[in-house]
Amino acid sequence: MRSRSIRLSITIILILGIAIAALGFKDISIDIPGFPTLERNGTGPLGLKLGLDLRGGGHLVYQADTGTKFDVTFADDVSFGEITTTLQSLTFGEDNSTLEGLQVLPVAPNRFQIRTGILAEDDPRRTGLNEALGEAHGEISIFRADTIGEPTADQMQGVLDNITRRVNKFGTEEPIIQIFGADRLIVQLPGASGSITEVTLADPILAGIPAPVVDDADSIDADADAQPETPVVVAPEVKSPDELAALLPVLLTEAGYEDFEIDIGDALNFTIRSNTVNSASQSRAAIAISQQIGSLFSFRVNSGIDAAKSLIGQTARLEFKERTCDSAACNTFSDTDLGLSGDDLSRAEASANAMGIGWVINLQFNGRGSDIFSDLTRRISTTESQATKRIAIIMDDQLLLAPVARAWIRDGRTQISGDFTREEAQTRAIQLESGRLPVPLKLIQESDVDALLGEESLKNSLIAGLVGLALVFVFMIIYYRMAGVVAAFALMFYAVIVLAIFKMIPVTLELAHIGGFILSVGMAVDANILIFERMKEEVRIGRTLASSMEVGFSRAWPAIRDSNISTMITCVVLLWFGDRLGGGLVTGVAISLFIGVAVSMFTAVVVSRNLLQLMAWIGLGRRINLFTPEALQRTGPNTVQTSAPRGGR
Amino acid sequence: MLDIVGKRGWFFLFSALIILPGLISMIIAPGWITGNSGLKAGIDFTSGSVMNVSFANPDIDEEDIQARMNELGHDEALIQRIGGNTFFIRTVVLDEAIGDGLSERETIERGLEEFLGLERDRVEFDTVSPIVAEETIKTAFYALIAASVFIMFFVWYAFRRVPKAHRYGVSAILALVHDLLIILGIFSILGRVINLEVNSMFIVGLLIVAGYSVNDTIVVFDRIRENVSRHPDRDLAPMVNLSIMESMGRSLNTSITTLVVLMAMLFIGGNSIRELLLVLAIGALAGTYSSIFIASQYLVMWDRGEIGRFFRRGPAATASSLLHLIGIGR
Repeated sequence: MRSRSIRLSITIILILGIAIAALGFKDISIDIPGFPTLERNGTGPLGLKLGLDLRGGGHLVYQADTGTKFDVTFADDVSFGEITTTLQSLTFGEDNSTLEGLQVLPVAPNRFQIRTGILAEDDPRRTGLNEALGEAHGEISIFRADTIGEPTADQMQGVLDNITRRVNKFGTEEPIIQIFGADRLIVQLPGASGSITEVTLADPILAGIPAPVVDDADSIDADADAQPETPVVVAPEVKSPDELAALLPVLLTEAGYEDFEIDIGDALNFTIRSNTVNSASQSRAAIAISQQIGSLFSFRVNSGIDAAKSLIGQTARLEFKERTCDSAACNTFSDTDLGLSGDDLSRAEASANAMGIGWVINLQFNGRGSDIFSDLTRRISTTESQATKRIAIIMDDQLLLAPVARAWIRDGRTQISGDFTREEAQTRAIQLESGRLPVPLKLIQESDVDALLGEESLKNSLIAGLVGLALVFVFMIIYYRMAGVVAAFALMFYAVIVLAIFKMIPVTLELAHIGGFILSVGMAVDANILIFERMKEEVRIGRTLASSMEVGFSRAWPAIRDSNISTMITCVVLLWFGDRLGGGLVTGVAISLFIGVAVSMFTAVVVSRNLLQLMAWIGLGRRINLFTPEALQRTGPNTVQTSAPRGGR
Repeated sequence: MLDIVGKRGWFFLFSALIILPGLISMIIAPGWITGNSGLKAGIDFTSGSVMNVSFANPDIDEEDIQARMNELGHDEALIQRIGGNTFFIRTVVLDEAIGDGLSERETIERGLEEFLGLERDRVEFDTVSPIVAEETIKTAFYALIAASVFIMFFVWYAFRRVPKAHRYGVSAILALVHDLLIILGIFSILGRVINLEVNSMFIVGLLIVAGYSVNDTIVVFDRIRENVSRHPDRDLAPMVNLSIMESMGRSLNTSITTLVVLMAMLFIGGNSIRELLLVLAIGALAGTYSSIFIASQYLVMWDRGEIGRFFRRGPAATASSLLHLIGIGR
């Protein structure tokens, strides 16, 4: 018995040691040949990995935007209200079916986009809509229907790859992007909750000269790969990137920026990412930069989440159309469909302009796209058509760019140049790439937490957890005396082990986990209480402390086992459903509760028990009143109660 | 020794007094009649946007924000103080940025910052579309049913050595239903009185309480299992009563320690999970009460055929049976 207990004690101390080591070394990296490298270096305290609501960031859920889309233009005047009322009251076919998931968007006067759930080609609602609307509102000049069906697994994978590429370009730390269910995509952007400030300095060479009037028409050049003939000349007054890197942090800190990162593009462009989102600091920073670095050309502040979302896109149907303008200013125009879309584009990326200043967007079309594009540029790149012809690049019915074709491009490789800053060129390139998404997406859920708020939540939860634990210790020690001390040790052991497991799995801790963890503390105490209450009963009927402990444990065990298994069953069911219930929240609670319950069984039965035995052997066992004082006062050690007679089981 | 089993009518009456107002609150308009569940639904179930914001200026109140929101074109905004100078602002789903413009959220934040001193570093923002809203409830409901079924069979299995083991499983689930009804009822009333909304954290809370409630009940059942197998010849009622008394100390102490931790979190832990903590606290109380006074009574009533009689004789007779249990009527 005794040697077994000593072996057990050594095992417990060993486990505790490993757990403390796992938590104590904030960054862990173990590389054993033949096994995958183990790396744990979360950003939270003790190297724990923190979720978005504790460290700040954005959680976005996108869904494939399926359904049938009608583009209807009426010859006569029809108001948005009239058409909506008509559409809501329309019924079709024998079973009087209505339009499900109806959405109407006004596009232009008398032109509307009507969206519904997916309608098959032969659905009476699809075939009959034209006629029904004609009856109600007169002649329809243009009627087009288009269906985007349920995405296949391959298509979703394509979406995932594409979004991953775009989010990586956005440059947020450790983004998580995963497919969820059949048609959803979860994008988690830690650290994207702050602001993004794009600063462009005025070019000193041009200083004094009024800013040039920027022509709406960007231009397209043929030789994308040509070598630079004239290197970009930077005036001596401009600070070098190294100087900027040294000076900017000082200025920003003085202005009140916290946790910022500076991305220096070139001497005239840099981007500041920061958790600080208040306008006072921003205006101080703008003043400081203009006084100490150079006069500002532009200073644009964007919310980090909005910037990320515009890159991910509500994407996106990209179309290239031939635009014919009435004049060079292109105030009125008409677009001709070319059958050229995002599917025909194989690549879009930004690069520094090799031919001059600024940035350009490089496009590459695939085989089919190259043929159409070649035909188009052949027709519209002549000197006379350059005045009135444009290539309209339209995404989701919004004009992205309308460059003029300067040359006949035969190989599908082209370059759009304009007065792009680096950010603009990259954003446009990414938007063009997004037009290649096999399925359009829509944002269906978003939750963002600012970093400072996350830090406060974490701090408050930690304090609250410690206060709660301390109160439990006090209660247990007052009520159960020495046994309470044992329970307190067991609880500390419990907390260390659970945190170590959280770190090593690793579990990304969110507030929901903390909720689960708290309740599991309650349950961990419960196992101890069950044991102590049984022990007391045995003491009351006159057993020695040592044997009361043994019997108490064996009697309490079935209750501990069965009650905790039932909780674990609940956890498993929750995990199983949690995958569909928005992921994070339910899964988080279930995992932490499960780990908590499992560890609490172990600590109560192995750790508490062993500690009590050790106490009994070092002589405390004879002083029963240290364990159950009121047992002696009320009934005395030899009083037999009505419930007492019990034999072996 | 207290005769808990003999006074079961009183305990059922007490539960009924808590559950019935909640049930009525859930059923009367605007409740089931208007197609709602009778709970004040947060954005997770209806769609919309919610911002939790704080202001540097401590004198800001709901009216100031409401006035500013009206000027920003959001007169539908619902504003509530959630402690200190932290406020909850609920609006319709806010629009995304179009082109190079600002998103609606950005416009609101800037407006509130400029005129009221919003602390833009401490904003929590959630938006949910109607599609997600509907699914959450459905999935949670199925999860609860699935968990109940699994637990019932597990308890049945765990108590297989005791005669009529299935009754323990069913009774544990009935006690669980009792606890959940109490929480639903109380939140329905709180929704009417203080406009407390339920969101997906509420559902998470219900699911955790389901685990806790059964856990608590099984400890008492375990005592009954032990006592019944030791004295198989004795009547069930006194055995149940004895078991309740023997496990009373443990039940109370466990719920005290659990509540202590929950209260510490509720008062210190910030606002983000206060709703979850509230559900857990009510659930811990209800769970303790039902494990002592309700769950094992089903066993006795089943044993004496009272449950069958209730169902056979209709609601009026059920009520009179309950009154009879209390000692009134006959």
